[in-house]
Amino acid sequence: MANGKGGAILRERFRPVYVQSMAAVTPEYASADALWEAWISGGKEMRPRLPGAGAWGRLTGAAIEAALAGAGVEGRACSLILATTKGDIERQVAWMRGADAIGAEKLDWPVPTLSQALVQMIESHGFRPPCYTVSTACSSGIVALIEAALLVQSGDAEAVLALGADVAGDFVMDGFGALKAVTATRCRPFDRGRDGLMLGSGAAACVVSGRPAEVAIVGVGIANDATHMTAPDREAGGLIRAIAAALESAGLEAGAIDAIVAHGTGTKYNDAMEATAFSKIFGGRATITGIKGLIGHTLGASGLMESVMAMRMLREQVVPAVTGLQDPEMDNLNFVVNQMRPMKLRHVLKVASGFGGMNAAIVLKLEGAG
Amino acid sequence: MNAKIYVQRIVVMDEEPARVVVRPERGALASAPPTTPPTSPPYHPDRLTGLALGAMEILLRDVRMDERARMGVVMGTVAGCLEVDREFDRSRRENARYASPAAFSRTLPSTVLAELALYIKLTGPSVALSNGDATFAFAVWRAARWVEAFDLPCCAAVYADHLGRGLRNPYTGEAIAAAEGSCFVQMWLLSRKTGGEELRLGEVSLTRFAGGTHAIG
Repeated sequence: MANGKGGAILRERFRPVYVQSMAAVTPEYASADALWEAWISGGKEMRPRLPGAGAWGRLTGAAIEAALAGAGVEGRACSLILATTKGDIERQVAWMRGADAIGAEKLDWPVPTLSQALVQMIESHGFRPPCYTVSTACSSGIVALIEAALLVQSGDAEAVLALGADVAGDFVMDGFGALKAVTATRCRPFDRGRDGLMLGSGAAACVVSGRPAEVAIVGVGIANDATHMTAPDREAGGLIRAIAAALESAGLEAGAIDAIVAHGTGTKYNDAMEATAFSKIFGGRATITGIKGLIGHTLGASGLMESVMAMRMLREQVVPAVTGLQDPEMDNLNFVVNQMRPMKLRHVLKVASGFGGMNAAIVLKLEGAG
Repeated sequence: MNAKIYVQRIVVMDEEPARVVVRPERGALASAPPTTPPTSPPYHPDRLTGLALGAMEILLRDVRMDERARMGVVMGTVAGCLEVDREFDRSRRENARYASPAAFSRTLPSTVLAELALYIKLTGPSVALSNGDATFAFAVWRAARWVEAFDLPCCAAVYADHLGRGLRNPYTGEAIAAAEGSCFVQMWLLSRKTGGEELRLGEVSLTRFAGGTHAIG
C-alpha cells in the first residue's frame, strides 16, 4: 500500500469522534430513511430536475432540523460547519443581476456571500461559536466532517453540526453544460458506457461529538493532486495520499476496509482515476458502491450525503448496488452490481474528489462490531 | 493540541494602491523586496490568482521543496469567486448555449487555493473557509490547529479577496485600506520552528462581529 508521505499524516492515531445523528434530504427523498430505502431497493435512476424556488432554505432547514432532532439537542448546543460550493446560488444570481442593472452599492440587501448563508442559519437555530463555511469543491462535505471531528478532538467544540448543501439550479446546470460534463442519457458510474454526470440537489447533516455512539469517525485524510484545475490526476496521486492518510490516522491496513462508497460521478476521467486509486491500494478486495446514479451529483453536499449512506451501511450491514452500473469497465475491482450485498461491515471508507485536485477520505467504524 | 506555534513570515500584497509588505525582512528579502505586486503570470489572466501566487512565492522562499509538498494551506475568503460568478452569469445571459466554460470552471471559492496548489505543487491538505469579518482570524486559527493535527512542517494562513466595486466597505475591516474593486492578499506562514513570533491564540470567543459571525479572541 502506498504510504502517506507527501500527504497529510496525523502525528498520533486519530481519536474516534462519534456520530450522534445523520440526516439527508433531496428534492426527491424527504429523509435519510427514504433515501436509504430507495437505494437498497434499487431505486429508479435519476432524471434531471430543477429543484424549484426556495430550495436552498427548504433543504438546509430540513437537514438541520432532522440532525438536531436525531441527536436530541438544540442548535445552541452545537457549533456549525457548512460545506458548500455555491451556497444559495439562485439568490446570488438575483443579486448579481440587480447589481449589474443598478449598481451594487444601490442594492439594499446584503451581498449573498457564503458567510451570509451561515449567518442566517446561526440566527435561526442559535448555533454556538465556532461556526464557519468550508469549501473544497466537491470534497467539501467530507472536509466538513473532518473539520467537525478536529474541533471536537481539540476541545474547541463539544458538539458540531456538519452540514453539506448545494442546489443545482440554472446557474450550475448551465455551467456543467458548458463544460460538456453532463450525460445525455443517465448517470452510470464505472460503467463501460458512462458518458457524464447527472446534477442533483440536496442537503445532509450530522451531529458529531465525543460521546460514544454506534458509528465513529476513526480516520481522515485531505490531499491535493496539484496537476490540473478541472481534470483529475490520471495517476490518482492526490486520492491515494488522502486514503493513505485516512488509513494511517485510523491505524488500519488497507485490508481492514470492508467497503468503499466511491465518489463515482459517471464521468470518464473521475471514475478511471478512482479505479486506479482503489486498485493500487486495495486490489480487488474492498467492496465498492456508489449512489450518484440515484440522486445525482450534489456537489458540496455529496461527501456528507454519501457519508450518511455509508453510516447506514454500517448500521444495516448491507452494501447497496452501484445505481446505474450494469457493465463495469474495471473488472479487477469488486463492484456491487444489480443486487445489494448483505455482508459483515466494520470499516467503511468514503472518498470524494473535486475541481482543483481536492481529495478527501474518511474512515467510518461500527463500534462494538468485534 | 497545545504546542507553541510561531509566525515565520507575513506577506501582504495590495493591488491598488500597489504595495508589498514582508515581515520580517531578512536575508534576500531584505536586500531585494519587491515594491509592486507582480502582474498576473503569463499563463493566467486572473488578477487575484496572480497576486496570490506572487505572495506565496515570497512566503515560501525559505521553505524546502519537500516541506512544500507536505505543508497545509487554509485560505479565508469573503467575496470568494463573486466577481467570476458575475462574469459567468453575464456570459450565460448573453447566450446560455455558449456560456463560458473557462469562467465556470473558476466559479468556486476554492479556485485560488487550487491555483496555488497547482502552480506551487502544494500536495498537502488545504481548505477554503469563510466567516464574514472574522474570516482571516479563523484561517490563522485553523492553520495553527492543522500544523499539529496533521503534523505539518508548516501551514499557510491566507486571506485572498477580489472585492468588487460596491463590496469593499462591508468587508474590508480596519486592516485593509485598498481601493474598492481591487485584489488583496495576506499570508502568514506558521510552524512549530522557533525563531519567529510566537502566535498567541485566545479562547474561541463569543464575540459577535457585524453580521453575526464570530471571531477568535
